[in-house]
Amino acid sequence: MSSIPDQLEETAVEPEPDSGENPPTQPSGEELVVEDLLVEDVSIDGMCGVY
Amino acid sequence: MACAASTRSGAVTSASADLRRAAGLDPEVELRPERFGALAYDFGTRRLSFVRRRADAVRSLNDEFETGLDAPICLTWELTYACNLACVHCLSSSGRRDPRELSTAECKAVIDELERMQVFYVNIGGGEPTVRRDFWELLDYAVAHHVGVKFSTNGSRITPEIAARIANTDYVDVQVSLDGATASVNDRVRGPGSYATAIRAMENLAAAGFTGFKLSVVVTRENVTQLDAFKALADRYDAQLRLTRLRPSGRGAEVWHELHPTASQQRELYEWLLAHGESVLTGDSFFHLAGYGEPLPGLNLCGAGRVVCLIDPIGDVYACPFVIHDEFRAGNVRDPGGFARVWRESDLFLELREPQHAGACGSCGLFDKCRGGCMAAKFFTGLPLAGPDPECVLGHGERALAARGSQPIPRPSVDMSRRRPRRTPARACNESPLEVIPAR
Repeated sequence: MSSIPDQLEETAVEPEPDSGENPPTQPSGEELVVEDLLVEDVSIDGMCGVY
Repeated sequence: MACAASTRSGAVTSASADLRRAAGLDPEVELRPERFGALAYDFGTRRLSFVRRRADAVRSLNDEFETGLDAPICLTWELTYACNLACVHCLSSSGRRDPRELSTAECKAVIDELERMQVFYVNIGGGEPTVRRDFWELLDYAVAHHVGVKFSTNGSRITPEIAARIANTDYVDVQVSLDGATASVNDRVRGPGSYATAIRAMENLAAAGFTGFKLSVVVTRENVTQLDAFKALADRYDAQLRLTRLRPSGRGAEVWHELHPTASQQRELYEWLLAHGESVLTGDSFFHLAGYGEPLPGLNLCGAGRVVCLIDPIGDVYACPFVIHDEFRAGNVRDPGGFARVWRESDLFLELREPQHAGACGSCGLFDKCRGGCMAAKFFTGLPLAGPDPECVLGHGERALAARGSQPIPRPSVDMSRRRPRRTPARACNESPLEVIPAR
């Protein structure tokens, strides 16, 4: 996606295989289609207003 | 995107559980809903992720941030103005304790509020925060209430025992301040003996097995040639180097003109940062240098009142830690509605989240990169906010400074600097500033 700044890492989210260990979740108001999710990472560890 | 709040100890709603599983997030990752999706913060790696639908990702994250978040992602909290040093560039003009300082109970109430707002962690500073008698109590309280703590210190209280205590506490990080890779360079800014104090603190932290703490450096004209030495110093203690920008804030206004890096040094700094990538932390400090080429790691925007803010020792909330001035005071945590109301409803913060005018920078081809630079740097050098940063890479700021001549510039609203001693020491440097406040 061109509008994402270069410094942000873009990670395509792949669905994890269902191990069967987790109980099925109740559907939320809007179903999440995991392939459609965009995860963008940014480091904020150095952000701090203190010398 | 439907997504409800979760906490590390509390119930996880179905929507956030879907998100967590979909994004392959560790159970220790905390999720916070936002209007454009959700924020995920990993307390282990201290990385922040933004999760949203591809279909909804029309705007860049920077554009989303500029209209503000439901809660800050970087909150600086100065617990006290009391300090046992008197650094010449102190951004908060610290020295003496303000008698109106928030009490222990009031601080805990603020922490409770931050927990409810899912503020992932706070940056605690001062003053020297560890001189507060209740500092460790507040630190433990914050961690127990799911608010991580990173605190900045000159190291004077980081004894071997304290270092061991910190090393055994989850969700706590430490920044040790040092502004010279040699004692002579550092002590000119931070005071006699402060280099040795900081080194001793780092030795204690390393000996306690605390890895990854931060060596925090304000880049100046005098130490910019020592960047490799700072990196080596951080590596020696298995720490991470964090560089930040010198602002003309607080007492810094008095020394900024002689200490801020020259134009050629700014360029060298940019190249050095680019070469070191994410191994050196800068946060959002140097986004004004993005005009040189590709952006540096971190957020490349002014987050004042949008994603960052400051709570000062008496509970006043400012848009940014570097603009302690009435013009940028949004409210007080003691006001009805507390911090949350100030963050969400104050006129100042709502105004800052509106589209800002580029002013004189509007016609510049680099504006989309540097976004006009740092609001505080402009304000405290007397430059218009809608215009170039005083360290604009094209030199526009320098010319604007020259053009404004000797017109008065705004002064900080707070100055807790200790009064100068009336008697002259028998010899220079025979009075250590570290002895002003005795160790407990």
